[in-house]
Amino acid sequence: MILSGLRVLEFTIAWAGPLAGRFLADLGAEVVHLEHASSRGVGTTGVGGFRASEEIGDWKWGDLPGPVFRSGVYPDADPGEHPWNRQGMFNKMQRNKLSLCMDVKTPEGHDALIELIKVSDIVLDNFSPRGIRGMGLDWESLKEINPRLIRVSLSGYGHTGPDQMRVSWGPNLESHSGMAAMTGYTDSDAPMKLGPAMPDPIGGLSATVAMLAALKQRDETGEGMFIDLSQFESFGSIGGELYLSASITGTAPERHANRSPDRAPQGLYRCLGDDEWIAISVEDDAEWAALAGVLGGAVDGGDMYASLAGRIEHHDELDETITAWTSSRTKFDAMHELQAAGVRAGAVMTNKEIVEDEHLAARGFMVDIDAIDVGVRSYPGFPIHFEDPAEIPMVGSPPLGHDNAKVLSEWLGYSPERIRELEASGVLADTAA
Amino acid sequence: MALDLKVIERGSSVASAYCGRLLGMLGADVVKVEPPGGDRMRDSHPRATDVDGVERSTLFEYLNCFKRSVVVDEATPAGAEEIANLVAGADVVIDHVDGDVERALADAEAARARNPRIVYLALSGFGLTGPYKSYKSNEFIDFATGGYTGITGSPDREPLQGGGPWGGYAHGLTGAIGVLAAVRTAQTTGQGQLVDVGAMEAIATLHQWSMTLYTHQGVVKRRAGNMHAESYNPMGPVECGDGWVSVGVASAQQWEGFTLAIDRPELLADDRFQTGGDRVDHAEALAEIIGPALMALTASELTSQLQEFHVPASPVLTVAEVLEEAQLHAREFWVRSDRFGDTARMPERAFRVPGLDAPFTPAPEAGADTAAVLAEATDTTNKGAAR
Repeated sequence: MILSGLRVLEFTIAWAGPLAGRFLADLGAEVVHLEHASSRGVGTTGVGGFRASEEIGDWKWGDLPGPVFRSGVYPDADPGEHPWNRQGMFNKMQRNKLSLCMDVKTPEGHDALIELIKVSDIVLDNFSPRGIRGMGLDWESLKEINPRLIRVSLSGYGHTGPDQMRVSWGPNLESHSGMAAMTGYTDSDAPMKLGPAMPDPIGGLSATVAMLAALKQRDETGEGMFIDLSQFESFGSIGGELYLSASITGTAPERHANRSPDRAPQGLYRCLGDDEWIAISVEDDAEWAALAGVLGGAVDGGDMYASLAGRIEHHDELDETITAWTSSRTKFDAMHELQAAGVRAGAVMTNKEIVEDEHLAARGFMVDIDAIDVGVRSYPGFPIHFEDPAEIPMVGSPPLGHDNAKVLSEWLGYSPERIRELEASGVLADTAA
Repeated sequence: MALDLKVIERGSSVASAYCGRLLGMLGADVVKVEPPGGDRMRDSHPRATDVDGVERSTLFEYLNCFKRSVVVDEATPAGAEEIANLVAGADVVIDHVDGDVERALADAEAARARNPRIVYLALSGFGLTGPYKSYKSNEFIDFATGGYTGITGSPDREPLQGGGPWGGYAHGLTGAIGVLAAVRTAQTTGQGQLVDVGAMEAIATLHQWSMTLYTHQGVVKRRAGNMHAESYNPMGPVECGDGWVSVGVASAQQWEGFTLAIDRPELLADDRFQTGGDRVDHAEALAEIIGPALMALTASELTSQLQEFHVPASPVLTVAEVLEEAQLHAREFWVRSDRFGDTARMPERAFRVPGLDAPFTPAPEAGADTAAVLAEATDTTNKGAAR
């Protein structure tokens, strides 16, 4: 595997950090997720919290579970005996990782943490600088104990500057960066958030690029480094042209909703069924001719639509003509028919349709993974296809503390007796608190 | 120090261009190959007028910093040979495959024949295999097939794409991970490989729990406007006295902080609002209670009061307003774009890797480096022949 032999220590929550760690784990690194007994959010206090006294009640496949159990995304809506090991969203991010559940606020736990950092190649977190400094994990301290360490911190705003202590989730950064104000309908000024937030996964991907580049550099020079990655900045960097335009003209570029000043017609068109849509985008005159051929006699007015300018001017009429065609077809039939004619078209896919898609199945994208306390479920796999698929492991998410003994013995050489003492004194745990 | 890689970037897409920009930013020598007349993205919106009065694409300008440009007509035998020579001396090819899978596979194989170490990244809409492999797409289509469009927008209106080609950027980031991973393998084995990254899968990978909701509970996820569809509330932009604030309440502590920040502590004891799921299920009732409290505050007051209670909150800015943010100035996020005048600036780099920060260079004019790059390639080829 590509990153075999690489040791990564991860302390993360939620999404951006866990995703970055997962990319390294998928590439074969040994990623230890350092957790606290409370960090899987069990109890009413955590992100994945629920009231343990509640009953599941009536639930059937396809229903959103009752509010109390909802955020855990438990398999079959059932928290089971070990709910902390069954949270779907958490498990999605934890595959291929090891779990070390250790209280680093105890002297023994803190000593072990420092020893682990000494033998790590990468230490990754996504906490605010406040939390990191509180743990004594600032770079000035760590580089003394491991000069080869690549230290990556994936905070909301970065470790410097006046806003460094601000706390944020992805939707906050989407708004703060100006992107929510760019998204939305053209007949309204209201901002619109994206369905699933994007700053988190963009931060996770950006951090992965940074870590792989840093690794190449570190292996050549032997010198570690601190990467202070701000999710505000990594997300802002996917909108560079918007800022550049605004800085020149003094105002934000105008919203286009689903249209484009470069491509017409472009839009989402209703198909057979309830809330079913197809995306169609015509990039040039030849593609317009292909679409007109599919629409057949329905397209009158010939020359009026021959140029991009004409198609933009008459976009509303074109939309009606296209909708008349799409609305009597399923979005998949429409997609296949348009693509066969050389027209750029794609079904607006639901989560269900992605999971069950025949194309993704042929590519092996969705993968069945067996995990302890969970069983076999299907998850999105790895989006990068190397020539040898065996490069990518698919081991299920570890139960909390599953690898306590393995990590402390293999990384630090702790004896079984010493590990048993740490278990007995509560420094190590495998049950949520 | 710099990322010691020679990269040839072909094709025209946000994904391929951002992948090239990222590698160039880290110090790789990135050569963008353009057809006669230049990459068609040079005409793409958004556009702005430069200091010479010429209208240019700001999208192209931003995406092509840290690169050199050669113009070669690949349709001619001489041009094709020039490209082959460039690839023979390179470590990485970034290719954008627009449904022409057979062409891409043939190019990748020819590159391997000349240069076994080459990492050939094929970025495409649907990937190089499977029933949709020959389908053409672009950022608008990919956002839809990757599952983001359908769950963005108001429930009672048509879905929405994002306000920029962000799926394309994410695809380029994913490609960069593939390149750096395959380069690491090539360094130890001496063998490069074809790396296949489709946008549909790259975008499907971005979701938090959309697919898990279906595989674990059979739930089909629907769009919910500025609300979280299932589990949190508030989680997104909310209206206040003079505009909007984006609020993020996930944990119980954040809910408590929210109620204190807006001075409605009685909500904490209300059974309808205990968990995030409760607050989604009783969203209308909650909005009726907190609406007046939010409208009584300015965006600035609400943001700072929430942050005081450690509740994630931020203003909802326009991209023009973001240019003034003190945090981004303090961290030297912006770089000037002299081509567009005194006020012009853009993000310089998404992140800094100490020791790997290449000096900033603006996007090259089409073919600005043709002579120099082709001469270097000839040198390399001759040296290779002599060896």
